[in-house]
Amino acid sequence: MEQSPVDNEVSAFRCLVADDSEFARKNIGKIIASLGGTIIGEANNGDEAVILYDTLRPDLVLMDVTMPELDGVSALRMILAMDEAAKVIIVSAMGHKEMIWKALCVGAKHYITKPYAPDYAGMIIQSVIRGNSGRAA
Amino acid sequence: MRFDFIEPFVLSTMGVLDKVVRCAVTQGTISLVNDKAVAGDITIIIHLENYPRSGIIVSMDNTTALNICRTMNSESLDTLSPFSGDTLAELANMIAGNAVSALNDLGFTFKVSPPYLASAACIVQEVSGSEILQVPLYTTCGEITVNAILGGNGNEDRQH
Repeated sequence: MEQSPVDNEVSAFRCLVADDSEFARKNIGKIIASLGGTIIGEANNGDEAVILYDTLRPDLVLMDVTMPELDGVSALRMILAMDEAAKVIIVSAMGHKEMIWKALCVGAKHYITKPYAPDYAGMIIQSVIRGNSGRAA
Repeated sequence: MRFDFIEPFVLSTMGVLDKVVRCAVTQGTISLVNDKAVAGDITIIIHLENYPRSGIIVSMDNTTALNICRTMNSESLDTLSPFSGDTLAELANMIAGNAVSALNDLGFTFKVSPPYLASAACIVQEVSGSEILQVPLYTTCGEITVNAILGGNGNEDRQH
């Protein structure tokens, strides 16, 4: 049976979303809300994501790869240099093996390829919030 | 961009449209076109960063754009707004990202730039003198045209 995110809520969590697309941020925001999470910050590029992470210290970051100013993998590296326990999920339309491998090696907890099914993305977010990681979707 | 990149490119594009626009997609006849044929009412361009004068242009008319925005946002819309433009740019980003990823998995190395909406005049200037391969895709939302700008030198090699 397919599992809906709302069937299995995790405890409230604070989330930072970094994507240069407002549509993409709004879309993932709906999933976060359905899981009981709150978007506490939105970044348009990797630079903003790093600054907001330092200020807000969210429980989870959802990070795009292709962004202006600073790309998502570079931002991931900088966030982990600040906080090695940071939980970052990459959410990107770039889903080739080399990119996924690079992001996971740098320290991403998971990798979601766009376009994604909301239920599946929700399941991965729950998994990372609970402390499981290391796979690509 | 080489001509033999086109098949994985088209298949990826159709896959994204199938998932995002949630309707059957039919491919039209692929053709080489000139610079004036690529611009629609809405035109989004995505450059390939490591290949000068190469890229992907997604274009459509206003009615198709409105239909797609309604589907992607699951809400009724009467007119296109700045957020509609952002929605369509994200669609183009997914098309380009998935297509380029398919090619990267075949051993080529491509990196895409963030998408942006461009005016018809800007597009014509951008692609002037380039070969453009045009793929019309027919959906229940309307026709979407995907253009691959074949601006490279044709000597791109597989990396492995």
